[in-house]
Amino acid sequence: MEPDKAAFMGKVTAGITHELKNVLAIIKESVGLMEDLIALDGENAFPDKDRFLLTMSRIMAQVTRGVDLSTRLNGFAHSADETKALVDLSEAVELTGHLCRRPARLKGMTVNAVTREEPETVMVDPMVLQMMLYQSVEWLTGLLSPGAGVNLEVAHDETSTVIISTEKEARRGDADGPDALQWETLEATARFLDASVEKIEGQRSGMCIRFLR
Amino acid sequence: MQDWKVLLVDDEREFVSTLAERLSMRKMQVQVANDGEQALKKVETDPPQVVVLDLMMPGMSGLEVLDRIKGKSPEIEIILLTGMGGSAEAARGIHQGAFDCLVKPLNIDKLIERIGDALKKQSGMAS
Repeated sequence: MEPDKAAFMGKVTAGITHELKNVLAIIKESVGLMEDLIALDGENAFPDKDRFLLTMSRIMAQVTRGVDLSTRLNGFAHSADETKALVDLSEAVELTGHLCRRPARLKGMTVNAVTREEPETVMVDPMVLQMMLYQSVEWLTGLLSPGAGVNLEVAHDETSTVIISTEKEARRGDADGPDALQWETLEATARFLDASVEKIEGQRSGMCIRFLR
Repeated sequence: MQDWKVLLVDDEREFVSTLAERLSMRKMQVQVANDGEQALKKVETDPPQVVVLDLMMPGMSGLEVLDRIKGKSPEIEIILLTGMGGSAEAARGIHQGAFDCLVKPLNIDKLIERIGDALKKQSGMAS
């Protein structure tokens, strides 16, 4: 996507996530008020009080889920703000894990994100990095048998790197067999991304994404 | 909580009226404003101890309201509300003298706790 189109999409999406938060805030306060009113009623509560409370706790749980989703969507939308920005790989991996979990689950697979407490930052196009991580996971889930998982791990070595791996025995095909070309395509895209990573003094640089075949 | 005077400022009418009802049930004296102009008028006519102020409002922004309240009545403590934590506006608000910034949807117990903390700070400044 062209940078100005991506920025436009990001800006509109980020604005909508704010609106969503307001909707969720109103739902949460309204349920909270109902809980307050029921608590005020004390012993004189109506016969279905427990069912009401259970239903309200379900609504609250969904509000929490909605807040989490809109926060992540907001983060994703902001990845289109700039074509070069310092990105913490742990944040990018966590976001990718979250975005990919549902489509992976539909294929009967899992996505595991392993992050680091210490920031591992690279100067990169945040949208391209996010796209690359997402597409890698999407393609890899196509290689695996149901029940398997894709692992995204932020490594701390001479480079700031996301290592993407799968369980070898869960693969339907051999990485050096018919799927070799697709692996090479992924690695070529990763090299392209690395070429765009800006080298900054005091920052590690080098391969941004590495695949364990 | 009975003597706490709080002004809630948010353009989301249903949010702010429901929150006001919940705080009133806890015996706080609560006023509501739906924009910056209304908020400034209420601060002048019946000053609250604490203002709970949304950052993103049409017309006068939360930061501008914060600036104007702090310029006239620096003793009033202001708790900002934002949709997204860690935003640049929230950081600017704290730099401009806001007591704290909470993320929407709110945890009411956390809000009450922070209003209490703001009042403690205020009474410490007064003594």
